[in-house]
Amino acid sequence: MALLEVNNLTKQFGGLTAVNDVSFKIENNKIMGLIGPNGAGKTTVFNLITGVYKITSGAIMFNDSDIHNKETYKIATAGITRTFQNIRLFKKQTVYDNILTACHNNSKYTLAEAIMFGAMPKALVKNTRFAREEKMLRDEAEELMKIMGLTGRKDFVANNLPYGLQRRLEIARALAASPKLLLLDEPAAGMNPDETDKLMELIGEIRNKFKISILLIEHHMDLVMGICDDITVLNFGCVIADGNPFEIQNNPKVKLAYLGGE
Amino acid sequence: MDLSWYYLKGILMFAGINMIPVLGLALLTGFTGLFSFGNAAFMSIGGYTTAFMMINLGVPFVPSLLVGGVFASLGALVIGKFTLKLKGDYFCIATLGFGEALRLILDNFQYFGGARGWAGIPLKTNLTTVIVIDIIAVIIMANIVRSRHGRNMIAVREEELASQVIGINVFKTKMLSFVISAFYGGIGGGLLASYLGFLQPKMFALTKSTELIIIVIFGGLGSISGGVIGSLVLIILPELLRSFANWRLVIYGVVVVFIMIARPEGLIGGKEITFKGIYNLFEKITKKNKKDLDTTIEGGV
Amino acid sequence: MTNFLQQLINGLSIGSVYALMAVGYSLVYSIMNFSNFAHGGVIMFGAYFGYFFITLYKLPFPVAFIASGLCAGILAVVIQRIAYKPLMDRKAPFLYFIISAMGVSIFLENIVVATIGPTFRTYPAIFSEIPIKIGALNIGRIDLMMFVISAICLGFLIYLIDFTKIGKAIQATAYNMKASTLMGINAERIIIIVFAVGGILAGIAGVLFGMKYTVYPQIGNITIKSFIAAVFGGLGSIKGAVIGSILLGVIETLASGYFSSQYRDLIAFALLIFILIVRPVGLMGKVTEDKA
Repeated sequence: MALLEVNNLTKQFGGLTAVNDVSFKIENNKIMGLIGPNGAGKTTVFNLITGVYKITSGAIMFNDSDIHNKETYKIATAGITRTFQNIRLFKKQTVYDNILTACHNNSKYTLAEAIMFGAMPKALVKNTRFAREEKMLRDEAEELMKIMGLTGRKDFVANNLPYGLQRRLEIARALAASPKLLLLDEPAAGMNPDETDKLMELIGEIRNKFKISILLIEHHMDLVMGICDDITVLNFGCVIADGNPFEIQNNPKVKLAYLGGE
Repeated sequence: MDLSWYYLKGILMFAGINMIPVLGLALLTGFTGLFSFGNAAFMSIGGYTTAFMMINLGVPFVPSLLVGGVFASLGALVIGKFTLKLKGDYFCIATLGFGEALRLILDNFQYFGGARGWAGIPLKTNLTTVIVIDIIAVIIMANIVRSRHGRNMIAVREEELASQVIGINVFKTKMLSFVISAFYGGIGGGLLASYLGFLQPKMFALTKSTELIIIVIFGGLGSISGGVIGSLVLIILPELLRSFANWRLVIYGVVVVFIMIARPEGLIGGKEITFKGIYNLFEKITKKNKKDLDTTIEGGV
Repeated sequence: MTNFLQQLINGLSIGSVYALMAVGYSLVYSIMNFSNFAHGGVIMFGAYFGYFFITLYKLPFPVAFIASGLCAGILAVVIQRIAYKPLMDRKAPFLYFIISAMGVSIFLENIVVATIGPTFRTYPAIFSEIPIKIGALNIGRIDLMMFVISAICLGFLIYLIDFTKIGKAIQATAYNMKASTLMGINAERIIIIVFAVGGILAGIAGVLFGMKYTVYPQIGNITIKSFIAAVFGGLGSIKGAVIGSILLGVIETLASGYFSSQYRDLIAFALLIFILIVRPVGLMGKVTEDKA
């Protein structure tokens, strides 16, 4: 069964149909691209998948269970996390804290335990669940920073990072929540070709290392064609094409949508 | 200025007692980003419950205090259910509404003395008790803030949507923060009841809730040290300037506007005073002196 | 039945004054997106202005009345310049505005206590105490004046907002400040106008309240009713504020007439809580979904 199945998804805002009968599948360990002109409904699809919007009709299935209309945090816990078009980092927190916070779901200690053992000298409480799990979370955060090349900026406040690293941090944070499916909303926006290449490598590495699937909204066609296994093309809320990069590049309907016809 | 020990002790106790609701509000507002204008209501729940437990049920002081805190927390569960889903301004107005509504109810509830108040509460609060409870309160708060639950609260304050997307149950996180702030408020109210010996609903009106918020902001949002120092400064100083009683609040008002305009991060600026921090500061100062010394010697040779 | 009508009229009268306050508050909210907690202070100052203009300076009522409104308007603008403009320039989060407003409110209330003193003051009787009789109904002259004056002011305001160029500019700025500046609207001027108008209305409301009840520094607390009315009607909507206020005044008066006047304020809060649970955006508010 596919990891994510979107079936006949429709979203209407009053009189406006933003997403119209959209269907696609994402398999395990694959990278899928979601492309289309501005306003085609791509971010709306993201918002529907992550529970930010309620669907009007259709279904979204993740690992064989319905996730549409579920609460965002439950969808995240089930295994889908995302980044945002306009970067929503915890701006005043450090790189380390941004990532560490996202690791929280991997631990189970209760607040009561934190209250009791928090202030004790390390030697005394070493073996409590609280101390062990906190250490585990911190190790995870360090590990993730290393993989994403952020260790050098560990104590930088997120807002002070250069733009490219901010995007990278947002991806790192999304990964810290241990997703099975990662949604990236225009991760290469504002990047120059060199940065875009590096990002491409990084995304590939993430897919291989973490064994997850990735759904990617992008306008940088090199990135999309270079890294996606499958591509779905939207225009005016409808799917106008889907297939592998080669098929999409030669699809006349796609050319029409992007270039307005020959 | 009468500075007898008795008088000073009273001021210190008053500051120490109020510090606890301030710490609770610091968690709710400073760390979780929820601006409540009704936390005095939790003080009143705690105060009246403690008084009831001691007078009507003959329960000793400390257990009564704890029950007061618990009831305040229960109040938060109820109020939170209605208010925590509201955005920004609406949450402020809603908490303000609940706070005032509770005061009005107490004003009309004759069993607790109504608007005239309830006197004859056993005086069990002393300076030692207050200091001990303050220390425990600070330690617990520090532990909360440094746990994953505390980190989640900060995340909710920073970016609510992004928090959800990494799996944080925003409502539950806010409720946790609200309930804890209520518990702290309740304990503060109970201590106050047993310090003054009487309670009146108007002690917990909007003015009180506003004072609490002002202290939190003055000390600096997102800082426990700020809450502690803010309480000490803003409660002790005005008491010492009692002769200017009428102008005290005028100055409060000016101070608040000034902070917002000139230094919104408050006195401590959102950071914490830790032992490590003081040590580092000390190091920096001594290092600077050493450097000056070196250059003088070089210059002299 | 007569009792019902009587209460209805009283409710309309008090509701109309609530409307004056709520509209000023809602106007500011629609432009600046924050709750101006200092509004109560301006109302209180309006009451005091009126009191002193009449008793100390012996101005005739209409003159004192208008002067109080104008002075209150000026006060509101001064507050905006000192306490809000620096924050606007820094694009501070809206909560900073609320806190600054709180500070202003505390300042205003206590500067009066510290200088003039907290004693209650009563307006000299401007209107005859004899109520106007219509059938079996007694309409107090003050109540009638309150309603008439409020209606006239609100009428002016609605004319201003809906039919004048300035009004359209205000609507545009309320809808989207950045875009309207791009269209050539001087946002700063609009903000000053909005605060001035809100202040004038607040001042007038203050005088009316002072006449009907008494004048004391905490009279500004009545502004909580304007918050409730504005939320009830839909924050940011002028018409909503008016409707919300009239309804609040009527419900409050009817409830306190049929149950007990002690519970008058409680009813108002119960209404607030009810609205926040059932329809937080208020009667005329729009329901929107958060965009990611």
